Amino acid sequence: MSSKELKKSFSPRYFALEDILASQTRVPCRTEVAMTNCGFLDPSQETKDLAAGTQVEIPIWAARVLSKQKRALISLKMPKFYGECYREVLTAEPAVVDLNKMGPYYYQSALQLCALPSEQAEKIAEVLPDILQKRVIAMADSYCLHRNVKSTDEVSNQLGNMLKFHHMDPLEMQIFTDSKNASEELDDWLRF
Amino acid sequence: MSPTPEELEFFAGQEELEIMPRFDCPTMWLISGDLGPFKAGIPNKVPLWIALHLRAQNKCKIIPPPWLSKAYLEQLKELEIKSPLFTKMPSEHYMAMAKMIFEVCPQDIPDADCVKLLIKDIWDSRMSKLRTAVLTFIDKGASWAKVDNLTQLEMCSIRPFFTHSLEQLHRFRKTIQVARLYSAGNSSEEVRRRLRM
Repeated sequence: MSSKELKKSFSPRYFALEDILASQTRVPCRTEVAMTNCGFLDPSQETKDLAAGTQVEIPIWAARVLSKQKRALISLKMPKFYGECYREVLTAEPAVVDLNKMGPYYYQSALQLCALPSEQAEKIAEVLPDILQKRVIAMADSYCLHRNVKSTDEVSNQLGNMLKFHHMDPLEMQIFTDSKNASEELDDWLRF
Repeated sequence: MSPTPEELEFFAGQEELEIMPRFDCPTMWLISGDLGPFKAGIPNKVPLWIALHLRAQNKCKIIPPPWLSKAYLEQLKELEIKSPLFTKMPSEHYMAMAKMIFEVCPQDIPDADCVKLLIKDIWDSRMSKLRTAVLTFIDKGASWAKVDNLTQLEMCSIRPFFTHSLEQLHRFRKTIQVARLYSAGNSSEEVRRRLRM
């Protein structure tokens, strides 16, 4: 019996490997206060201390802690791939964008970024469901293709409107492989 | 968690079927029910799994159910193709039953090839309706839909795709709420408390 459950790790869970890897995405920030002995955060720094106002790139998990409202040690900006122009591209034509280029775990990192205190968080969050919706619809036709087809890329070249396999984010890939396995199982059983 | 095709085949085996036994046997008391006394040449109603079991040992002849005939299926196919909704199928497990009967004894069914083709056509037309319905559902972002006369096996075909994609979409939509609370400047305890309410 194939595993029909989408792996439980795709929900915010502390020990989920996907979540941990997704929170490694770096966020550009600016230090507000001088931090002694924190020079290691910025690899290009020679000094041991971080002066106020330096630009550093730190992972989400560190940014989350350092940007707590009460202390506000740093101020955040969203990473490049979640910025204004990329968001516009994604809302215009979601099905053709290569999400793998924009970071290894696009959706997961986006979900984590939305939990950071920043004005852009809401805009990113609003754009996400629509992207997934359109891409899922593009994927819908390709998963139930018979396994004689060598790869969905061949067919998508002919039909031109399916989501390419190597463009998929791991979340979409999981949905795709699960559905493909289930559909193949049904087809095998249905052999009259 | 959700039934596989093999499990649905098992459930389909419990549907009743008529057979013409070639042997004599008094009543058998089984756990799931009694098998009435068998007399050679007199038709008898038994569950499908028993019928197929006996047929494999050549101890009976299967009388196909009334819906497994060319005329009925042709009518059904017309109805199905004309109607935009799903029509009522003669049996909840029509596909599984047909498959099992064809596996064991296709010779008991008159016009077996035509019947096989008709069932396949009906199945294909229902599946294409289902697929378009699912796509429209995801596209509109609807939150509920009412569908009648859908059989379990057809549901199996869309199951991991439909449920998982809707689950992830819901998760993303929920994050909008979270993001709104965070950007308003609430701390994470505050956000968690608000979401639990």
